[in-house]
Amino acid sequence: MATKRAPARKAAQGGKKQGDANAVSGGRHPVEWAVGALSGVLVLVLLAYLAWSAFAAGDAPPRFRTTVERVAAVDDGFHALVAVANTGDGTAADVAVAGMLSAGGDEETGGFRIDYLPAGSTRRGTLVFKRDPRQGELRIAITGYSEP
Amino acid sequence: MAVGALFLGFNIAPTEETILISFRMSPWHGVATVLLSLAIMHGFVFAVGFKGGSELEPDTPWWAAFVRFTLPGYAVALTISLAVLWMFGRTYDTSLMEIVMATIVLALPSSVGAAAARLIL
Repeated sequence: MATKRAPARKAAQGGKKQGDANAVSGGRHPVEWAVGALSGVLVLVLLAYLAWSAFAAGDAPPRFRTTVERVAAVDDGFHALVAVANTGDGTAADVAVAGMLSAGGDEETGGFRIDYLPAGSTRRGTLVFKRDPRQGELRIAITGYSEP
Repeated sequence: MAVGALFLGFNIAPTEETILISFRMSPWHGVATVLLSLAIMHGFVFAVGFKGGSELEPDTPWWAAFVRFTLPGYAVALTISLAVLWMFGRTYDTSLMEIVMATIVLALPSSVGAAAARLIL
């Protein structure tokens, strides 16, 4: 009994030493190296992209381009969906969009705000009018924004 | 590691601060954040000596473990961060640069989570 148990314990100890997952030795498996190299390339591409954009990107203030994408008639008026694109290099926060509609001899105003408008990105909002913007002249202006 | 990255990243991704920090960062800040994340990940598992951390065998150079464990771990953290940002709609109609910056910002806590997962699991 005792002679039987002793080799078993020895084998268990040996097994623990061999299968110790916490010990890290040199290259064990080519797949690990392949995945590591692939990840390394990914990280290098990321760093290169950041370095490139650090030189390429200017520091122009945010610039805005607005387009009316859709006008929908609802019960009590008209909803004009407006897309605001930031074509500058900086991010704008709290962008105030105002719409002035002159239709049928009357002036009407609508407006909304955009929380964040990052550079090169587009956000959307809706202007609400009583009259149809398609029948009149709609002017959209950015009246202000703050730095994020 | 993906579980650890998800565990920390998922809590931080819906907050506004992630994108706010990325808006205020220059590309050089982004480079520094990537290097810091890698240093934290490597240190967490191999250098600081937490319980459950890994010990390098004496004949193994440090960069072997870096290439085989830390770099893939960071790649996992980046992927999870991007996926979580996408899930919360942070990538919609947003320029590549802003997506990359937000991903890097979120990958910092995610990589800590990924490194911690290596200690726990």
